[in-house]
Amino acid sequence: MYLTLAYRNIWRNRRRTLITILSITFAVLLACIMRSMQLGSYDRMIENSVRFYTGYIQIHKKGYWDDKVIDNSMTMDMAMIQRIASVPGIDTYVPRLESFALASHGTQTKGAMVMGIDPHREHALTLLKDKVIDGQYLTTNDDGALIGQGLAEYLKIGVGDTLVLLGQGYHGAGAAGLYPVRGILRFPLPQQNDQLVYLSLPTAQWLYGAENMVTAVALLIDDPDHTEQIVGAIRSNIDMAKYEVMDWKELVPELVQNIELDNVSGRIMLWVLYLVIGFGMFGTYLMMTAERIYEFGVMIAVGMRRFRLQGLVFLEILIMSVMGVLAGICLSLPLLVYFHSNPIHFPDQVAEMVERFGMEPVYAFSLDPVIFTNQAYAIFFMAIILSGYPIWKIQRMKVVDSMRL
Amino acid sequence: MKWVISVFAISLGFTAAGQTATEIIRWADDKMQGNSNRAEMKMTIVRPDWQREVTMKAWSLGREYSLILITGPARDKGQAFLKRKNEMWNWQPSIDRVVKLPPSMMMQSWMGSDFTNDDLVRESSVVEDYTHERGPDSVINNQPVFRIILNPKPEAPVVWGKIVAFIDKKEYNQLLVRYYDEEGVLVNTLTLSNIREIGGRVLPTRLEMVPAENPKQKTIIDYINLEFDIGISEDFFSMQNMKRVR
Amino acid sequence: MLAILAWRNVWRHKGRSAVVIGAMVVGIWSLTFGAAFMNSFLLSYIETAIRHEVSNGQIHHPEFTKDFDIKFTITEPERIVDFLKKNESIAHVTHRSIVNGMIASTRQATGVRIIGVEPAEEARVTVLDSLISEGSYFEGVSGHPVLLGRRLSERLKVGLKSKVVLTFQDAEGNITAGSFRVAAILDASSTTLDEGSAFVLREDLNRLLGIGDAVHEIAYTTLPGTEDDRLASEIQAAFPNELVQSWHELSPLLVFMEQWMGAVLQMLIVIIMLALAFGIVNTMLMAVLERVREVGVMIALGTRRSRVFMMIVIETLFLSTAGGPVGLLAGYATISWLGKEGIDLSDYSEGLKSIGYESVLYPQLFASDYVTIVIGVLMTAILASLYPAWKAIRMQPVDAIRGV
Repeated sequence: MYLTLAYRNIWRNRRRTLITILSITFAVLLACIMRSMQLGSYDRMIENSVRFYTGYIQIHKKGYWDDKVIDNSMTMDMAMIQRIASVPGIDTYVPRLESFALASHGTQTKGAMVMGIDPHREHALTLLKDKVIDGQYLTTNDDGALIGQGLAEYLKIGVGDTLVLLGQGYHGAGAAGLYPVRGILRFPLPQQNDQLVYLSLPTAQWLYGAENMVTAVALLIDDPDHTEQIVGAIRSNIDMAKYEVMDWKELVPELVQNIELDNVSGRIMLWVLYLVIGFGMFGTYLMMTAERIYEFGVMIAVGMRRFRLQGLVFLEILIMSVMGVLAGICLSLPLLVYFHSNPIHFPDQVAEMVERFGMEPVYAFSLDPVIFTNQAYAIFFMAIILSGYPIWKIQRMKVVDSMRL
Repeated sequence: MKWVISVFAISLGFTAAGQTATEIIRWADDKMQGNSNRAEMKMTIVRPDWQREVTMKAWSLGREYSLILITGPARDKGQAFLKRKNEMWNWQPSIDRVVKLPPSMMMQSWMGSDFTNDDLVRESSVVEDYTHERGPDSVINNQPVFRIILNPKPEAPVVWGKIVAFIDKKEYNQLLVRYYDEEGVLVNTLTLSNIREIGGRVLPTRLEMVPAENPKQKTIIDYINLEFDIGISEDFFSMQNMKRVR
Repeated sequence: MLAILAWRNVWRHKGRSAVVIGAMVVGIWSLTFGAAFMNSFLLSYIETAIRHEVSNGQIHHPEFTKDFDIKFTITEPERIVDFLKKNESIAHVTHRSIVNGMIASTRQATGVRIIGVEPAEEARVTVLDSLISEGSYFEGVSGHPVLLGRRLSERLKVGLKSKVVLTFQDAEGNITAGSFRVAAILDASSTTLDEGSAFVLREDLNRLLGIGDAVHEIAYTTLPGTEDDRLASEIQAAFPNELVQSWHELSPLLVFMEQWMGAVLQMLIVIIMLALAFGIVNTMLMAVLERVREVGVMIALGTRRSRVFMMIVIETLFLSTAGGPVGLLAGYATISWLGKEGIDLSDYSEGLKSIGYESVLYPQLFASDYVTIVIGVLMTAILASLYPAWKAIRMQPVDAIRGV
């Protein structure tokens, strides 16, 4: 009964109602865009960092991450790998054999990190091929090496020259070999640029006397949001007494800290947005109340109980809020889907820096459903809270004054 | 590796009874320093899930020069390490290269054992770096032994808090050496056994180092052959010879 | 004449005017706060990130950082330090000796970067002393003190006052070693500090290295607002034989993070600006619609539509100029207060506490930012009034007077 009345009421002044609904709609839209952009940028940060190096998930022999020595490498057990690769959500697995060695050419010698990789799988994860600035990328069983630009400059070595690698292999075996340089790689991070040498996996296994062994298997997964489930699935599929499974949060704790930090600032900015939105909505309510004070006065004068009138107004606001929020979601969804696939570009100056790190210089938008529900709830809640004003006004108003106008 | 040297330093001494601890050790040490020797040995690295044997020949002249040639396993055969004073080189026949080991390499364990490259070249001296005192005598394997306690001097660059060596009274061979940290917790135990005549002396030929916290892991050295005063000079320890020596 | 009419209108509807002024105040306040917060957040991110490690800039022998060969020392370090201390953009300066070597305890030996520091200067530049979780800063031990990260100390299985031996090659290439005692254990979030560094007194290290008073690294911090790149090239010009690098070059990843976060935060400000504009449009629209009857009468009486339009716009201008200064003042007051008190981010996040992030932000805003904001908000307000004004004059007087 009241509902019908309220519904009819709100359409009596269509323009006013539309403005109110619109203010809520727009609030939901802006809040969604803001949050979507924040979360989208975290996803990008994660993706970027993971693509630099680690992958979303890594599997090692138990204890490897704490003590990264080649003696803590594991046999590349194909049955186990197949079991892991069959876990839904895993795109590809990327085996690596990583250890320290001395890199030498001519009279120059310097410590280097040697990575034995499967060239195709590695490229699928880290886009390594794109980092070749001179020469060629490795082939699957290549007996040559790729070398970071900084290291190459230090050693005064170029494509076609022979690189000496000298180190210690598995279980203390001697590790020494000569490798023609196939290509030079440029990395944005000096730590990588000045340190990395890539060999094909079989070549590195031979160098280190670690036949069929790897230090890590990195996983590329289709959706970072599923990391936890996938890690759980892997853990239940392999012998956890022998292996350790780590997700990116454990692999790159600095990244988690960065995101946590950024998220705090993002939330504060979100609150600033809420404040602005809230005040905008409040202004609309205020105007609406002022406009209708005469009407309220008449209704009370003809015998309507104040609390019934308050209920009626509340119902009106409720209906308008629901409509506003729904409209907001309906608007933001296609908009964000559009931005998600047609992202906005960064300003040029920033873009250059970002591109150097191999990232697309765009504002990324997340389509996590949580964004929509959370923002819709927040704005709806705010709209309802603000209805306190007209209700309070009805309580306080003097009928005679209101009708004098 | 330094403990190998120290062991010889101590075990080579046979002196009159009633000596002070310092005299025993100094005498043995001096005698060791003055000698050249050649050894053939087998190092066995034992880990909970693997084991590895490395055979080698080693020449040394005093403390300052040594040359080690790896004779097995096949993969590492022919590899040589040359130490001249404080520098160390590595010869790799498979790549035909001599590489001087930089500091970053020195921290790696030597051939996968419980020694680091650094142990091979550092000259911590049981005489100079420690003060020595006699503890109560004891008995090991029915043999009466001296108990000598070595305490590091304040500035000495040694990690140990205390070393206790048990030396048999008859042959002056070390039978047992215990390494403690500063809290007095036992860290490593060196056991010497298989005493027989080798290179004209009666010596323990098996050295077994066991970390107290990880008894499943140890490094054993067996002396197969040992000769003393072989008459080599500094010239022997050259880069050319490192590549040539067999 | 129009202005007077507009002025009177503003005062005739005090409630309505108050709402519009209120919207302006809140808007300007939000923007000033948002911008100041953003500034301080980026600054603090950078500062925290460079504080314990790279500082604002470093000077080395051009060959030194390639392989940390100790023979590449800085020529005339005293002159450089003096020069830096005289520069008014530079807050603090320290110099160090560095060698890569090995650290050994009774249980473990591992590679480590050994950094010889001048404790008092180092504390001012890298706030090294603030990282101490146990022990005291180069004090409280007999013998030579060394400071280790928590993870390194765990790996070596050493505690406070334990003895460790540092081994490295001296100037002659000889392997040399020294015994040190753990004076303090550091809690650092950076892996380099946590597991790869050992801090000793520079005099101890130099003695063992046999390099006299030579210096490998000079690091300096700058005052807020300094353009670190320009400063670095100034210093470079004065000392062409050394290599001077600002943190931009020392830590490109950080530059990347800064740019990235900055771009995102800027976009957030744009969104807030949009929300503000929309709020004002809405409020103004309501205000104008409330006045349809009045506007209708004016038009019916023959007032030209363009004049009515102007009147509404001028009204908005009055309201904005009233709201602007108040909002600005409120913003300024908030920022000044927060700039002193600081915002402790860890109050908003348990996560930050657990990672030990030093997270007190001191929002700050430059005069130019205030001007930009005021102009931005005024423009927004005027633009926001155009649509309602246009809407108002489009109405048919008859409809308007009849009421909606």
